[in-house]
Formats: sequence, C-alpha cells, structure tokens
Amino acid sequence: MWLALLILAVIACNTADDITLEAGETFTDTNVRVLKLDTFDLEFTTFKFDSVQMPLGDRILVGNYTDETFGKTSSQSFIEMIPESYDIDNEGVYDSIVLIMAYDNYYYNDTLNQMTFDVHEVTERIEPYNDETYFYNTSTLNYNENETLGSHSFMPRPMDGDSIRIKLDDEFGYNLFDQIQGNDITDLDEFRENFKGITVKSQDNTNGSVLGFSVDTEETMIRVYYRVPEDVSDIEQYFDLIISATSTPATYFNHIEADRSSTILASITNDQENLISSEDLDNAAYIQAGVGIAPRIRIPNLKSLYEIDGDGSVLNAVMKIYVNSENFSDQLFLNDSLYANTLDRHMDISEEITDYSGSSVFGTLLENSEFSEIYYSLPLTTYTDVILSSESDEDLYITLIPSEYESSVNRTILNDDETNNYTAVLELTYVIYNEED
Amino acid sequence: MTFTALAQTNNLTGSPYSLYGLGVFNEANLGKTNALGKSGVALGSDYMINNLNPASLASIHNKSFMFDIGFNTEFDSYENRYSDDSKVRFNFSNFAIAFPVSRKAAMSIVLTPFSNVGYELVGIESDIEGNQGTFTSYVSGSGGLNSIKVNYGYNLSDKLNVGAGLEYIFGNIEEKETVAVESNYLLTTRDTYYKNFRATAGLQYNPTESTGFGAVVKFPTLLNASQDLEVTKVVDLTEVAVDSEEDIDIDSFKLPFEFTVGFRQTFAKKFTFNIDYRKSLWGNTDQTDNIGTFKDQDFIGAGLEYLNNNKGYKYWQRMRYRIGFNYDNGYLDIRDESINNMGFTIGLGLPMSNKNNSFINLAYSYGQRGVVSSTLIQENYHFLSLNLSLENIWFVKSKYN
Repeated sequence: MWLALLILAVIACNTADDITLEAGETFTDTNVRVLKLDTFDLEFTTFKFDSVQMPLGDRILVGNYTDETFGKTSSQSFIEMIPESYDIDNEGVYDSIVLIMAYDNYYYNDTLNQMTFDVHEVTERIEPYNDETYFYNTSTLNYNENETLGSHSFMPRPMDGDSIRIKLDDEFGYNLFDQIQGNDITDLDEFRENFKGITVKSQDNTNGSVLGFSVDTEETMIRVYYRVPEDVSDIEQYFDLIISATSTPATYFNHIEADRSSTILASITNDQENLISSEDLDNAAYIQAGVGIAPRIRIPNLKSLYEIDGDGSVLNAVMKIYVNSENFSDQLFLNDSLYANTLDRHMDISEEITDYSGSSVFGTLLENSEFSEIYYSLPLTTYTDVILSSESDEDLYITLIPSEYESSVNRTILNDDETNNYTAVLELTYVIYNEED
Repeated sequence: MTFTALAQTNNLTGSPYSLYGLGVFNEANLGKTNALGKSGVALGSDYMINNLNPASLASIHNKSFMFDIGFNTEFDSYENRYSDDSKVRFNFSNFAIAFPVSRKAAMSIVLTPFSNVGYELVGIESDIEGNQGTFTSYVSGSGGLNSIKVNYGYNLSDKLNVGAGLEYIFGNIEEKETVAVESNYLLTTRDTYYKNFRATAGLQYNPTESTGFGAVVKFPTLLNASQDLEVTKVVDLTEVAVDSEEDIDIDSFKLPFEFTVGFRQTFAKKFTFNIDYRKSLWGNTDQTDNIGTFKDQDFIGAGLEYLNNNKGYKYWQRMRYRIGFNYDNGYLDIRDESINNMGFTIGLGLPMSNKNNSFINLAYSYGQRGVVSSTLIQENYHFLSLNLSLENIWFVKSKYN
C-alpha cells in the first residue's frame, strides 16, 4: 500500500499537471509479467581455508569450547610485550610482576565454568615466518612448555569484569627488572635477546569458553612493581611491558585450532580444495570463524531463467538460509550478519559482493516468531545479474563469513535446500518486459 | 509556426482513451467545420479551406489565396466510479494554405495533428505469477502523430468537382510503464515511430446552387512502425540499465478503409444544413490493442448555419451562426464496451472585411467520451477552437497601383 502511495506522491510531484486517475486494471492491462520463482537448485558445500590471516590491532583470544558438531576448539595467544622505556630508578627495589589482560567483551560459549589460564615464556622471536607481515591461525612458535610463568583460575566475567590479573614468576620478574635497572638492557634489540614474549593458553576444560582481550597499551600489559625508598615511606612505582599491536611485521597472534575427529565434520581437512557436499554433512553447510570453516554456495541453474519466453530481468532476488533452532543457543550464538564474498575455483576469496549502490552485501539474521523461523536473508539481486551475464556457469561461488571471522570462533550451521524443514531457498522476482524475444 | 514546432508538441490531449491505438484521433478541423458537428464533406471551399473533401478546393475563387491557422483549448474532466480529475490544454491545431493552380483547379497544403496521446494511469494492479501477490504498475503515454496533406481539387463541370489528396502521416508515441515490486522498480520506455502515406479521393456534386452532395474515400494504409526500447530498473535505490534496443521492427498500424457521404441544403435563403455519415472499417484491420478489440466505426455529424445577409449593413447580419451535433460509436470495444463519443457544437463566423472572405471562426463543443460504468472512465470535454480563415485576393492590388 505504501508503495502505491509513494508512486502517487512521486507522480504528484513530478507532473502535477497531469492526470492521475486510479484507472484500475479494468481500463488497461500491464505490458509486463511478474513472476515469483523459488524452485532454483542450491548447491551447499563446506570447506576449510588452509589458513586464516591474523589481522593487526585486533584482539587476544584465549580459551576453548567443545560442541558435538565442531569438536573441541581452542585458541592460544602468542604475544610479544616490550618495555615502554628502559629507565628505572637506581634506588628502586623489585616487588612483583603481573600480567593484566582486559576483557574486550567478546566471548563464545558458556562462561559459567571456571577456567585456568597458563602463561609460558616463548623461546623464539615472535615474528612471522619467511619475512611475511602477518601470522595465520595455523602459526605456532616454540615455548617453554614444562615451566609456567604463571597460572590463574577464575570465573570469566567478560561483560562486566574489568580484567584478569595473572601473577607471574618473581624470579623471571626480578631478572627482567634487574637487567633493565642495571642497564644490561637499554634498547629493544637487547631486550629481545633476553625476552621473546609469552604465550597464554587455557588448560583443557571439558567445555569452557573462548574469551577476547584487548590489545590496548592502556589496558593489557605486563606490569612490574617496584618500590623507591624515601625518608618517611617507600613510594610504589611500576613499569609496563606493552603490546605493539599495530606494528608490522605483526608481534602477536592467536593460534586457533579445532579437533573435529569424532564429529560429523571429521571429513573436513586442512586441504582448502576438499569440498564436502551438504548431503554428506546432515544437509547443512558450516561456518566456524577463527578455525576457517566456510560454506560455498552455488546457484547452478540460474540461467534456466533464459528458457522463459520473452526478455526479462531480475527485479529482486533474496536467498533465505534457515538455521535450525537446536543448532544455536544463547551461548553458541549466531552472528547478526554474514558477509557475502565470491570464491575462485581454489576456494580463495576473490572479492566482496556488493550491490548496485556499492554497498556490501550481507545476510541479515531475521526471526519470524510466528512460524518460529530463523534465517539469514541475503539480497542477491545484483549478484544474480552477475551470474546471468557471465559467460561460463562455473566459478561463480558465494561464501558467507561473519565479521571478525579472523578473530572470533563463532560457529553457524546453515540448512541446505534438501533438508526436511526450513530449507534454503532463492526467492526471485522476474519481470518480463518484452513478450516476443 | 514552424513544422518542427508542431512535430514536437506533445500531449495535445489529456484523454485516458489516448491509451488505445494511436491515441485520440484529431477531430479539430479547419474553418467552420468545428462548429458544424465536425461535418462538411458536401461544403465548398469558397469561404474557408474545407479539409474534409479535396474536391471542395475546386470551388475556391479564382485569384484567391486562402490561409487558415487554428488554435484550440480543451478542458477535460474525467470520472470513474472512484474518483475524478480534470485538465486544461492549449494547442496549435492547424496550419493550411490553399490557392488556385488554374482556372479549374486548386491545391491546398494542410498541416494538422493526426492523433494525440496523453495519459497517465496509476494503480493498475496485476497478479504476480507464482504466488498470491499483486504488483502495481503505472503507465503513461505522450506524443502523437502529425499529418501533412496535399489536396488537389478539379472542377470537371459546372456541377461536378473531383479531388484527390495525399497525406503523409508521421510521428512518435512514447509509452512508459513503471512496475513496482517490493522496493524495486522496472521502468520500460517504448518510443514507437510511425510513418506512411495515405491517399484520399473525393467528389462533390452540386445539382443546384443550394443543394450539394459530397463523398470522400480514404484508402487503407499501413503505418510502418519501428520502436526504440529502453528498460532500466531501480534496484538498491540505484538505477541500472537493463536493455536498450533501437529500430525494433514491430507490427505496422493499419488505418482502415473509410468512406464519408454528405449532403447540404440551403433553405429559406438564410439556413444551410449539412450532414455527414462516415464508416471506418476498423474491423477489417484485424488488429488488437492491449485489452481493446477494433470494430467498425460509424460517425454521424450534422450542422446548421444561419446567415442573415452576406451584404448586410449591420455586422450581425453578416455574421454566421452555427450549431451542430456529432456522434460516433467508437472504433474500439474495451471489455465489450464501446467508447461512444458524442458532442454538441456551436460557433460563430466573424467576417473580418467587406472585401474578402476572411473570417474568425469560433467554435465551442461539449462532448462525452466513454461511460461511467463499472470499468471505464467517462471523459467530459469542453473544446474551444479559434480559426483564422483568411483570404487574400491575388493580383488585385496591382490594378489599383
């Protein structure tokens, strides 16, 4: 109704002079046919990116969670932390050393279970291999596995807690303090010879959560406390080791991995070109951020539109991809949106899909409580035109990934078009403007 | 007024019925016929250029040069069961000259609109195929065809004039349709160009000064058509080109065989009655138009002119008073309903000079097109026309010099 009003308004504005009579369909017919089509085959497969590049300046992810579909997912962070200055009062006396990590409000899975974080000293320089700029989720470095610098058990409070404080080994702390105070370490090179960095990992819980921490220099740091004696009483002072989060090459990363060996996704391997059809995966396609699991969606028979007589054009196309209610929960929540990208034949991301106005195309999570439907609504009008105008039918693949795909561990299970209920569908509005070809 | 200006004048009509066929055919004519029920195939061309019958040119006075320029204004009001609307338009309606080419023959060149298109219709609801929904479309049309006609009339004998005309009909009609589905639109613009010649033949038989018969035939012709198609869509609030084709061959538009017979009679020395009957054999063209079906059209028009005294001293005596009536049953059935057209006309002929036959011809007509039924629209129109019908006497001036 509002559309009719809009049209009336537009006409009224543009040609106030002309006749605008509600003639109705009895006075003339439209020359146009409008068809709603929703019977297109959709091909859903799942694969895993062989690696996911770690972004700079994002978050520290530590923790693990287990679910029956995606197995056991864990994230361990490797972090170089460097002094802000190399100047300590000669009178200062070492007191203690603490790793402070501030929550950045991201978490995934149940935070009601106690977690234990262990901190180890890394034994090699924290820098990407082969002179690269970035780390990957698969990157790892040697660290002193047998000795912990510190360990901390706590109840996660990612939303209302401030930070966690992990007391580190005083021998390690004193050693660091002493060398800087005694001018054995006066610059970054000398510092790096003595101290490479730390890794923070969670002890194997049966089912914990993965927590996000800030890399802000004001919020996350190793803090060394010392006292400077004065006449009346000592003055407490400290110096910080901080993360240089945006410097290149990168100086920190999250190693994210999952053990799917006893789940339905066991067939998904690190071979990026190993595509598993939804038929073999319980009629679904899967997404897991951080780990790098992603869906590949194809509309194989879209060009059958050309078999309809006459010249036409797609006026609207929306893919509705449903999620079964048992496949998510408040803890294993769904992303509000999934961004659409194109994949090449090797399953590398080619480009972001944009619409005609240049905006990113993403699937929006919608809920129709009346029919207890939960689905991602993905507007594909522009992209269907791309498919229809392409020379070949191959190589036109869509993948859907949430924002923060590289620095979160969210998982999503998308129903395919063959499942029993809530099947994925492409709803297309096709307009034929010329009956004769 | 140049030829180009006429060709570019759009929306000469505001009739929703111009949606059909080539639009609303122009009925405004030259001289006084607008006031005489749009009839006059039996009338001569001695006081005006009679464009209804080429044979009439034979009655142009020798050494006359005639000139006619016309303007009209139309006030239309429309109503259907739900709403009404109205519209005023001003138009240039004709330009014509006529002159003798020999003692027995004369020619005219006449430029008139042939048909006019101007409509906007909103809220056309249609079903979406494949679900229960509907979509809304909005259609508009503009443009129209023009005619340039050369007529030749020849005086075979005292009582018999014959004539022939060749008319070139040309122009374009632009139709736009906007279809709205959800928040997206498809806009289709079709610009259709028509052109071809059409031949006319006529005769007038005048057994006495006061009695005359006329007959005209217009031969069928195919208006060759080609179309430019431009399709765009508005998706994501962005307009995108969909299709653009030029010079698409489409079906020609068939103009039917048409014949008119007419009669005039002067009585009581002051009254001249004339009547025309015309049949247009649209049914034979086998054309269809959207939801309309073409069918044969009957036209009847009649007029009465009163002239007190051509040489009277008083101006009112020399003025001409006219009244007329016309009716036709339309050439289209739309959903089995005819679009009848009925009009009443009155007019005045105001002489401009004692020395020649120059007149200001004023005519007013009130008419109705269509019906207020469950489906169609009734259009009421007030039509006012002004024709300057001028005569110059050639070669006369030099005599006085």
